[in-house]
Amino acid sequence: MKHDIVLKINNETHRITVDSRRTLLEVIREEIGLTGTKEMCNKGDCGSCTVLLDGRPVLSCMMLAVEADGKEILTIEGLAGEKNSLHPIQQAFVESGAIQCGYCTPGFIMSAKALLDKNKDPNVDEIKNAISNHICRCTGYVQIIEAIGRAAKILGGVE
Amino acid sequence: MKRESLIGKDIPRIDSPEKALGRAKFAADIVLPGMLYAKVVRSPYAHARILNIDTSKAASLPGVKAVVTGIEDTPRGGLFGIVSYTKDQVLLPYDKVRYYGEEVAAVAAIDEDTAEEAAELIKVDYEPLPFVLNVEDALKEGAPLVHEDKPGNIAARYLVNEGNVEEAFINSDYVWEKTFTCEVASHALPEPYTAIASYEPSGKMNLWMQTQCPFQTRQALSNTLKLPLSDIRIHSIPMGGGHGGRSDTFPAAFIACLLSKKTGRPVQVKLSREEIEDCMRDKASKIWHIKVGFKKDGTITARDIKMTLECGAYASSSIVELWVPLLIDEVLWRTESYRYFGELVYTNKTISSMMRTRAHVGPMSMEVCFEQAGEALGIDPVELRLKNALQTGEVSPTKSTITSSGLKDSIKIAVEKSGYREKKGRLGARRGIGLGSGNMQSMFYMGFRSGSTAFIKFNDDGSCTLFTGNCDLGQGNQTLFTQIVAEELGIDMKDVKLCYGDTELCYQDPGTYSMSATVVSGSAVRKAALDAKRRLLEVAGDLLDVSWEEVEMEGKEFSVRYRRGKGKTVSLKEVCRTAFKRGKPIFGFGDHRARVDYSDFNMDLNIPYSERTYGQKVAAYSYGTTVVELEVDCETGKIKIDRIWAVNDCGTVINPLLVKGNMHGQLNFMIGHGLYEMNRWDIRTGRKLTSDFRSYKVPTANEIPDIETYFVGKPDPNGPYGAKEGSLGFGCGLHGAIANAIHDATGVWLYDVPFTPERVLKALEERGIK
Repeated sequence: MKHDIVLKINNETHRITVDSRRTLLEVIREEIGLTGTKEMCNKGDCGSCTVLLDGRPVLSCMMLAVEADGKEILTIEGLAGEKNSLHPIQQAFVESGAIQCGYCTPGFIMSAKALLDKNKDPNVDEIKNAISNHICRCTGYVQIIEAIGRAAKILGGVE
Repeated sequence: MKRESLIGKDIPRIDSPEKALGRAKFAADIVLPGMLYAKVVRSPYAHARILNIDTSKAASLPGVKAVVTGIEDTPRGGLFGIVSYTKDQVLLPYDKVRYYGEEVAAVAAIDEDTAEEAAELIKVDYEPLPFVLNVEDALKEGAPLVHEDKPGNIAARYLVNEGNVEEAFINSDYVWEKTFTCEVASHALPEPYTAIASYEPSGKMNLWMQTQCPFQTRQALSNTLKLPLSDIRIHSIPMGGGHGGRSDTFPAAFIACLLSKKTGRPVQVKLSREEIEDCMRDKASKIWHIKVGFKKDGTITARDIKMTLECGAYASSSIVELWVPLLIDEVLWRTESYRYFGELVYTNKTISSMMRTRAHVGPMSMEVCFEQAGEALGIDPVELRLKNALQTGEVSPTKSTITSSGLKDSIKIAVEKSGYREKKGRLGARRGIGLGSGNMQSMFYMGFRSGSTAFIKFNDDGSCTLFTGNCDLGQGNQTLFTQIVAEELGIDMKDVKLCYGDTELCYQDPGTYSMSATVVSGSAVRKAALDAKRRLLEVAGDLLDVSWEEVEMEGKEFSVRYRRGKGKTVSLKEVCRTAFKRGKPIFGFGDHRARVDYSDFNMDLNIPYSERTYGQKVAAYSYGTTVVELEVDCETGKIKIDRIWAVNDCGTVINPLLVKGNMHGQLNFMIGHGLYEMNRWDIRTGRKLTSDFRSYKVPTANEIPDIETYFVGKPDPNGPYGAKEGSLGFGCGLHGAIANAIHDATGVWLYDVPFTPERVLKALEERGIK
């Protein structure tokens, strides 16, 4: 069955017709063409497809597109400033060496954004908790944890 | 003012910004006009003969553009295998299937849903055959044969026999003997494997896919598809992980090519998480039997190793794993007599390949040996290690010279920084500390493809573009190469553009494989930069009216050396433009072949042993030591690693920020494979039971201990600026360190990796603890 829905993605309104079976991840990637959100396991085990839905981190592979009707969605592409200038979290990930193959990176950054939106100065355990549903096979997480700490400092004006 | 050197500086990866922005285009992000989507039909049997395939219903489904089967479409005679005597795999088989999930047919359709529906309409008649799921069964008399032409299910054997091992044991004061094992583990690569093939009317096959070795993959596709080498082009794209698991040529790429050729349209084959785990690559299981002889004073007299290695259904790059444990073991600890016998065994399971943590059972066995032998001989185990550690300038049993070894220093520093001596045996209830060293090769012999050639062209604005056949899995090769060019030419890294891993535009390269990127590809890049610089200096010399030797290049300016700061200068842009006007644009060419004179790994079944095993096998060896502090929960059997001290001898550290990150990654992999990662199979059906992240647990941020990293290396003469492999070798002894720490905590010894809670509990119960 087809549905007419409205998705507000990265401050742009998309009026689209989607099949009931399509996941939010599929629609973001295939219909909207925003391929920064990544598929890894497609069953909610890895965190790589994380987007923010009305400010909350959600796994877009575990949600149907129709469920997101009328909601505000932020994807990795919506984070950067003008002319692709890096958001402080993105900047911190780059500078800390937190990105190796980079496939899992957008998911981590979105969860970091959700964390830092509600907790300006998280400790290491809080950071680990916020990203504990994400899988990274390259970095060993150390520099990712450092990056989120550094991002908190940049956002707080300390660095 | 002379610019500060870029070597040794913390420089973030140059490809990180596009990945942070979500703008990097991975294979599954690419959509080509008219692209079709494929679905593969897979075997529901671990071992079966293919009797008949009926594709009529699928072919007539609206939206289906092509169906391929092995019987109809696989060109005959082209087998995949990475050395001549292990070519054993038909990439889309036509006679039988050898593991659960093996490819038997595929469809291409206008969308994924149609392809999936069509795949279900393909009817395959099988004759199920008995199968074998472990090496013990596979080696039994009368066991089902995975390959009819491989008697005893033996894929290959490898024997090295130096000195007289038997005699040495008789003359030893103490002989130690044990068997260690490790289970089949997964790479669990983040990015789903995707191959897009586009067959052009000109006969060109364009491919966008993940591969660690574009040039080897091009050769293998040419062999199996029966297409000329030059008609295959592999484009370079970012890759979501490799870790050794994407060095082979996979059926999915082969099938994409068959379907694209048949339809004349681009075809995407994208595998699901379950397909990746069932049908891509695993790490081989291993049984490692080792016997070590000692003199009273602790000197090792002999080592005798027998390894049984399981490759799964096809030999693939597991064949490399047959000799790599030797390459690691023989250069760690000195011995006069040495025997190493390895056997590669087929089973009806997922194919195994190389993996970054691969040879860990070997180093682990020696670490446990030093602890147990030290106690028996009354010698401090740390001193026992230091006494037997191979040093710079020494020669291995099979005659490889070690040009730099920081092994002893790494042990000393790890012991000192961790407070090992003060803590050992004194950490109290259920806490323990353990030590383990490891090493890794920087490139090993890969035949014709052991060398790399790099090329630099200067543009008319003074910037340049580097072409290298090497690729980047995320470890930072792009950054490394750019850093080298900028260093040699004294220009900014942003003025060095990069074209990498494209088989059409770049020269041949070993690929991101065999740890050759820094030593082989990096050296070629450096030579290309020096060659370009010479040409720049020559043109600048003409413009300045002096010979090129008198010209100095600094920043983007050339001046005459003794008139520095005063006389005439010319800019880089002027030099480049002058060269263009003369019809001789600036370029640089660099080639590097590592110093290996070893030409035969002697694994041919027909020649079980010959003296051809001598020679320099590896360009350089990196070393290192880890110390682990952990806690054992005797109620649950769970091990919690609190802290790791990691000391790395990787020669000169070109970019510490990146090397440290790669070290964390190696430790993370080793923790996973050491404590919980293992695959399981249903013994009734041969189906893998651990094909997703719920059943196959990998470490998350919560499992990561505090890690301290240290560097101890001295420059090695074989690498650029003295650098060697920097990400793996230091951590290869971690499982030994963990085993020793568990013993320190509880008094029990574990010999089987991973150290799962079940195994820990069982060992504790046997000793009456708990």
